[in-house]
Amino acid sequence: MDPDRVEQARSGDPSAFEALVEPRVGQMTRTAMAILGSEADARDAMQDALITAWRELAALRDPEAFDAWLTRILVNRCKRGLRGVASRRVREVPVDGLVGAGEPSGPDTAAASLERRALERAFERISVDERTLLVLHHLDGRSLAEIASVLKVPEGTAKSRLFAARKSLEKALAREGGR
Amino acid sequence: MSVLDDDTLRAMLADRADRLSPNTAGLVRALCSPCCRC
Repeated sequence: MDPDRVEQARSGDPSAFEALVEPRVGQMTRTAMAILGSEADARDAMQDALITAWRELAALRDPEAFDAWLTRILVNRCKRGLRGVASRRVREVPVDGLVGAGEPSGPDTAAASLERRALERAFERISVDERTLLVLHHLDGRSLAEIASVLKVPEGTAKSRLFAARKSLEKALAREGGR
Repeated sequence: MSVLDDDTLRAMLADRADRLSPNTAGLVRALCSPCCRC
């Protein structure tokens, strides 16, 4: 983190903002995609998040908190996006034969593939808050302290929410008959 | 005891995240360059 660059961006320098955000766009987009499961929704969430960040950057008090602040904006936009399509419960889960990179390989490919799809369907059934916790921890590799900072909650709360999210996913998976 | 292992969960999330077309990745990257405080 470069506090000087944050200050420059806060004062309205678009090139400073671009330099701050550009290295983070890849991971942020993957985070949104993992939470939402839809490319169009992830793109909308990213667009809203970047516009909001640019508009509200002047209100950021602690330049060191830029990462957590930007991620918080993104996950809030993901929540908003998902609420708008709440009626679509199961979305864009690949069907047989359409999965490419990242698909399990080896002698148990078919079983692993079925298991992966059951898990993704279960993931689609839990709340966006629960999805967010699991993505921040298991995909982005954020620690409990970092998640607490993003969500603006005590670390103990982040820990209990992550545990509850995991249990919720396991229950949804059991309903899928995957385990 | 957990019935879901971390590696399987991580692989599913990574697979989901990687389902992004290069077109969208480029579009989003272009968005991070604001032209004004609109």
